[in-house]
Formats: sequence, C-alpha cells, structure tokens
Amino acid sequence: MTTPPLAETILSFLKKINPHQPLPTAEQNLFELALLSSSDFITLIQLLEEESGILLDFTQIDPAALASMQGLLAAFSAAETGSKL
Amino acid sequence: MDHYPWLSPPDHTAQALRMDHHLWHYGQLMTHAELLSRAIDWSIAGPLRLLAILGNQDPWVYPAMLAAHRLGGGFLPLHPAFPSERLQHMLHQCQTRLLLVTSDGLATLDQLLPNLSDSMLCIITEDTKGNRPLLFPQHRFLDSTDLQQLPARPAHPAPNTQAAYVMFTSGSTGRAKGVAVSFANLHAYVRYWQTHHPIGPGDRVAQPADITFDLSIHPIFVSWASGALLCPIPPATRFAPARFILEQQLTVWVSVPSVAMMMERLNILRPALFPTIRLSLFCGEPLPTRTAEAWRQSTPQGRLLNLYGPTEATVAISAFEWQAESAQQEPPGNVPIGWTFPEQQAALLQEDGSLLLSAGTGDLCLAGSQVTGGYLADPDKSAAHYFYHPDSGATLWYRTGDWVQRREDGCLLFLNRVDQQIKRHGYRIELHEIEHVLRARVGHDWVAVIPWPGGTQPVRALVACVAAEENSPTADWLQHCRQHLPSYMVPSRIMVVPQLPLNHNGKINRAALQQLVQATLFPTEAT
Repeated sequence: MTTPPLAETILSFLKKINPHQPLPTAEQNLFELALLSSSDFITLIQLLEEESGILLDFTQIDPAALASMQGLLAAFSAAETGSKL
Repeated sequence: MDHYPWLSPPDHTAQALRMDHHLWHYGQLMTHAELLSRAIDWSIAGPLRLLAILGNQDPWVYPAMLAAHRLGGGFLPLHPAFPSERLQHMLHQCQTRLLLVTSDGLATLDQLLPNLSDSMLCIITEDTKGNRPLLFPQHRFLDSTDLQQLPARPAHPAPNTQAAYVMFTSGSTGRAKGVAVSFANLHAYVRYWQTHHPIGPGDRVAQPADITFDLSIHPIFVSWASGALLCPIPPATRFAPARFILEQQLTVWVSVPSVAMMMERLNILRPALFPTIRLSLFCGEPLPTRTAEAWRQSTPQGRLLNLYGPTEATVAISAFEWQAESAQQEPPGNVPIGWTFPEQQAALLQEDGSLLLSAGTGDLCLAGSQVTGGYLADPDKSAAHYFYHPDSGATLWYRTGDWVQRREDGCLLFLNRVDQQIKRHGYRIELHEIEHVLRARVGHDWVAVIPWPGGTQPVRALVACVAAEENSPTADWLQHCRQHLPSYMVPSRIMVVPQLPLNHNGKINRAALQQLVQATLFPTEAT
C-alpha cells in the first residue's frame, strides 16, 4: 500500500510551505485554498514520485484530477496498479 | 453577410469554438454575437466605447467580444476572480457603464454592484436576471429572454482608431494601468500572421490563458480570421496539458514558456509526443534553450517560434525561429527574441538619449503599426514611456524598459529589466505594486518582494521580505494581498527578517535578500 506514507508526505509538504494555514481535508481543492501554486505542485509531484518510485503518465492524466489530496493519492495508487484514472 | 471584422469561416457550419462540452460553429458564433449586440448602447460606454465583459470560463465571453466589434466598439475583459477594488478601478478608468456578465461572473457582479456609484446596464447571458432588479434598483438588467425581444441591430464597422480592446497591466505606483489596442493595431497584428505564418480551416488552436491575459488575443483573433477552431484550455489543466493536446489533436500551440518548462520538469516531454502540432508559439517570458529543444523534439512536424512583445505593442512584435540546428548555433541560456515583424521597428535607447539602430545594447524602444498611443487616463506614465525623437520625425516610440542586445545580424536578445518589473507565467508584474499593497497592511515601508530564483531564469515564486518581529501576522498579510491583488501577484511566501539589508546608497539590497531567500527557503534547490 502506498497511501499512508504518501499522504504524510503531502501533509508535511503543505505544512512546510504554508506554516500558518490549517491543513486541508482530503477532498478540498489545494489550488482554490491557495495552498499550492503550479510551481509548488510540480515540486510536490516530483517529491511523491521520488518517494514512491512511481512515475505518473501525464498523457493519460488530467491534472485537474490531482487538485486534492484524494486525487493525488488515487493517481499514484492507480499508477502503481496499472489502472487508468 | 453580416459584418464581423475577424471572422472568415470556410462556411457557417465550420467549427469555431470548442470549450468544455460546447462546440459552436461559425454560424452559431455570429448568431450569438448578433443577439448580444442588440443590448449594446454606446452612449453609456465611455469615450472609448467599451463593452466590459465580466466572465472568463463561459463560452459566451467569445460572442460578447464579437458583439462589441460588430457594432464598431471595443471590449474590456474583467476576470471574475480579480479583487473588487481592481475591477472598480478598471471600470472607472474606462468610464463605461455597459457591463456584460456571463454565468461565471454573476457572484462577482453581486459583490461589485453595491460599490459602483454609476448606474450600470448589466447584460446577463443567462436566461434570468433573478431578483437583482430588486436588490440593486440603481442599476438596469437585461437577460437573454429580454434580448430576444429587442430588435436586431445593423452592423457598424469600427474606424481604425477605435479601441478593439483594453488590457490592464501592473503599475509601479500601486494601480494597474490600461492599454487601449486599436483596430489598426490589431489588424496589423493579425495581418502579419495571415501573411507570414498562415493557418486555416482544419487547424485546432490552443488558447492557453484567461481572456484578461493579452496572449489569448492571438489564438482568438488569428484563429477566427483564418477559419480555424479555437480550443481554450481549462484552467486546472493548463500547467500540464499533455492529455488535452493529444485528445484535442491540437495543431497550433500557444503558451508561455512556463508551461513547457513544467512539462519538462514532470518528464512529460519526449520525442514525437505531439505529432499533430505544426506550429508552436511561446511568448511572455524568457524561453530557455533547453526547453525549446525539448519541445521541438516533441513536435517533430512543427515549427517553433519564440515571440516577444509587450501589451503596448499588441501581443508580440518580434520572433525567433528555433530550428534543428539552433541548439548548435545558439549559446545555452535563453532563446533570442529575434527580429521585429515587417512594418515594425526596434531601436536601442542610449544613456545620452540617442536611438541606436545598429548593433549594441540599450533600452528597447518599439515603433510601428502595432504600437499603441499611450496609457488610459495617465499622462505622466504615458510621457515616461511614449515619446517622439528628434532624429525620427513623427514616429511614436514606446520605451519597453527591457534591456536588450542587438547582434550584428540584427537579432535581438533580452538581457534584463531596467526596473523592478518581472514576468511570472507570462504576467507582467511591477514588484512595487505588491510592495505598495503590503506596506499598507504592515504599517511601514520595510518591505521588498523578491522573485525566485532570480537572474534571467523564469520566476517560480515571489517572496515578500518584511522587517518585523518573528511572530508577526503573516497569514493576515497574505490574506490582505489576496483581497487586493490578482492571484498571480500574491506572494508565495512572506519571510520575516529582523531588518532588511541596505547597500552603500542606503537602498534595500535586493541582491543580498535574493541570497537570503535562497539560503532560507530553498536551500536544496539549485538555481
């Protein structure tokens, strides 16, 4: 299972770059909450790919689906099992 | 046939706009524009005859632009996510009381209306205006049902001097400044593309950004003047749109370099990934040579142009074509900004006030049929940037503030800015404007906004450095910025420091702050 450690990584990353803001719920849109910029997002994806050893295939993924913690975890989980989002 | 200055479809059933689940052909686009134009009353649209359009992610913003042009006026795009104060400022500067609102602008409209002292005519593209006439009796409202009852209006061509659109750019004194682009300017721009890089029916063209970003003017009007299909990219997809490109089978790509750079960082770009793209245009910020080469290899059937141009010169005014041999011919760094388009001129302003027309370096000045005439209601700013030179007669020059080198072969290379203006994802930002807003909240002047990573590299983050105590309310300060600035100008972080470093002239030492930001916030990321 990849979910728990990756979730921790996401939360820890968000906390680091937004030390004074409350953490989001799994479903909340991280961009709308201004917790992530597009540049932060790329850094987070790189971090998650490095940590999990899983590379996301963006020719198959709509980045809009990755705007929440839930979406991010689902994408990595799907990539690990070979299924498509 | 009705008069639309930009539409040249092969026939009325040709596809014109594909957005979300909407697919409109040219005939529908014209019908919708005709309907909207029924409500346009130029007598309340200010001296520039502008239809303000409050909306962004709704297909009706496109026929709204055409409706204005159909009746010989221009449009002013207003983003629903802009702070209310900024929207009020834009409307006030343009003096228009004619406001068209699409579905995504309604919530903003309700917040905006109580703050507008002038009585507005609000044209709502939805089929109901709701209870707004009761809530806001000082304003008038028409919805799409009302529009159906109004008589059709004959088209009326615009004179060349009429503003086709007005865009606002960041201003160093804390206020955005308006640039009116005339029909003559826009015609010259579109004519260049039709002549030198024609596209046509069958082409599918990316629109990479909001309609308030002037790079979007290119795909919208060049597509429709050529009978091509416009494909706006959904906002949440814009930073890694590989799937969108493949699904839509885009043939013309337009974006800021940041998009390609982010795709490069995500290892998306690989050889021949996008076989349908035949023309790629990058504009709005420096394009790294490494990114250009990666993109070229991913679009093997396509040509790649790096464009340069400020809003004041109508989207873009020079181009450099990056070809297979460019990687060997050009030094690593950023791709040159190339040669100005025919009919346009570039000169380098020297410290002694002379204009250099040959090789050298200087503050880039532009002239020609694409160059606008000045800023709206701001004679001081206009005088600082637009000028006539004794050596060039009646030619009006626009001083860009971009420090540029011209090589012996005439090719231009962007070196840096002469002031504190930067580009972030293609958006022009005066750092002083952010600092002005933040200082008002912080209560003192010891504030400096630092772009990271700095130098000639594209900006990835804005860090506001504030001299204050450690436990200062930085979350409140950020919230203040969000309330007063568009999202692309809001600092990514606020870094509190005991005091700002000064140089020997007593000015804030931005270079030292740059190093401090790097060491404190991004210690593991190489620049």
